[in-house]
Amino acid sequence: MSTETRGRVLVLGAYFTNRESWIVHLRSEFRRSRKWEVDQRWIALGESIPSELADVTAAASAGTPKFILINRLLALVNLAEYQHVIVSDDDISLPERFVDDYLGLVEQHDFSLAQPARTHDSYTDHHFVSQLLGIRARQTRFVEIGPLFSIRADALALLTPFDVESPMGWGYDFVWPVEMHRAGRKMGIIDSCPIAHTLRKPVANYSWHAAHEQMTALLAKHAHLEPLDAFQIVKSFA
Amino acid sequence: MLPNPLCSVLICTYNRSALLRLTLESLCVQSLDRDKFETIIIDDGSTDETAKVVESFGGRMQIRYEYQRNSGIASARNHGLFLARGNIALFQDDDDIANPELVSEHLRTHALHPEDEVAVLGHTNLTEALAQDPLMHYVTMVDQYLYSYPSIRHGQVLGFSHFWGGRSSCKRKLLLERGVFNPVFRFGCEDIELAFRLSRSGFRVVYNARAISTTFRLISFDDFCNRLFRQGRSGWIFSRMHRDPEVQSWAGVDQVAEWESLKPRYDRLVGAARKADATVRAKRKLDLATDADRPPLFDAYRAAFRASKIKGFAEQAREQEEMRSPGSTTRSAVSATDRGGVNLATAGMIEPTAASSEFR
Repeated sequence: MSTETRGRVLVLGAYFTNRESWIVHLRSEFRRSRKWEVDQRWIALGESIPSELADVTAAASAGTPKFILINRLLALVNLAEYQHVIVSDDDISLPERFVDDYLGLVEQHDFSLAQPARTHDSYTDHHFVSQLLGIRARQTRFVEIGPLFSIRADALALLTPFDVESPMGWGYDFVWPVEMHRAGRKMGIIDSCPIAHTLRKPVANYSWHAAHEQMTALLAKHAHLEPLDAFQIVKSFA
Repeated sequence: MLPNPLCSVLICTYNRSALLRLTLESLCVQSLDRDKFETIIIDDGSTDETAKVVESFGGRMQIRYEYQRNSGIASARNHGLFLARGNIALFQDDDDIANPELVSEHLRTHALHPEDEVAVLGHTNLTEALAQDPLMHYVTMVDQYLYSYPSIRHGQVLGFSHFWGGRSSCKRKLLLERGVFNPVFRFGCEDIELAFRLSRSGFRVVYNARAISTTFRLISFDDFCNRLFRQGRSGWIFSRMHRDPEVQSWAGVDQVAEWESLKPRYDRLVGAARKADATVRAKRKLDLATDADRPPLFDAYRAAFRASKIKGFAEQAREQEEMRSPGSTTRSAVSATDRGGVNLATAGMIEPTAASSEFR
């Protein structure tokens, strides 16, 4: 490890082997960090690991929900070695210098849980996460479960392993703000380095109804915010 | 933290601290209890005393201030919407004085129409002095470039083209779930474009003539030409985004074909109207009668304003055409922003708000 870096970052994710994805771009962009030593652990969603991606692929798996896979990846590493864990999908495009710019602002604003905003041409489930022009970041009561979010070391024990009652992650983002608030941690969205989520429509590869039922079950068991209370900025940073 | 207020009054502002002070004074004397509503100021990059003015109201109302780099009204409104805690979001202009019943009246209409899809349009008066002004009279009462209240009645249910920013309110939930302002619109059309999208799922506007605010800023002739020019640009973008016949009709972009014949005469048309406007103002200062001057003055206004809007259509159309042309450097520049910034490629950019004194 270079003594010049600010520490280690772990990137976890899953990519499709039989659908178009931006995994090659993502691998390259995550590696480009000058300020962090970045380790990548991906799971290939298919029967086998493509040889050209073997260097960042931990395993192959087909038909397993996302957060079960992420939990498996988490179990393979010593989390104490990392300052940040980034969880990424394979269908997003990152701006240049993403890791350095994004984590720089995450640290500057003391966000234990964070996500980049989405570009305005992205597929979006919640308008709240679209990029706000004119500000760099905002402390919020909502960070979405994807397509990319990051957890700082101090919140890893709080949020991981992920609750597989809702294995596609639906509902975590309404439970997290309660847990973060109880723990006295901040969460937020970084607007100045937005990601483009334009390649595939969300929920194109699994059942909306099943995920919704799983979310309902999860929320019934955990204190959570309603959307109107969650979609609020606590503080903006221009 | 205080319980959520019923209503969030959202005011976007840019370098109008003196006017904003009067607007905020009027919100301090609302009939509604002050713990029932909050006021949120989104400062869109002001360089004047805006922050200090807002700070001075700290103990008098629930007020919140957030600054953003100058990004235009659609972005500022989205910023305010995401800061809001009230179930009702009331968009108020920074140069309008609220009647003491303004917020209560908006809430009253929402209570009568609790459906998420119903928004409320309030009424904006002119001050007595402004109502006497020939240009303000013309733009509000004659050709109704600014508001079109003479053609609507209290309680009327209206369509998307009556969701006028700065005097309308809606359920915050609706926007958070169904759509927010498109930030490509830095000035003009941001409200109507959003309302059009929402209208596909039943959005409608109820007019409450008792939800009154009063505008007190005189708009000069040149400011109004500039305003229409910029609205023309926004209107063109709107018309390209949505090919729906209702949008085409509202935007009136078919007039763009007239630009070639107007172009050589544009400066003379505007110059003649400017001169007529100045003449009538000079006569009014001397208490001379101007009744006979009004018809020709209004004809001159009509020609200049119409031409200014058409000029906006034409310039936006030309710029978008250049962006689409092969090898265009503009096209490359826009494409380069796609991953790292805002994708404005489909619509084209509008000039920065900061370039103009006009915000609303």
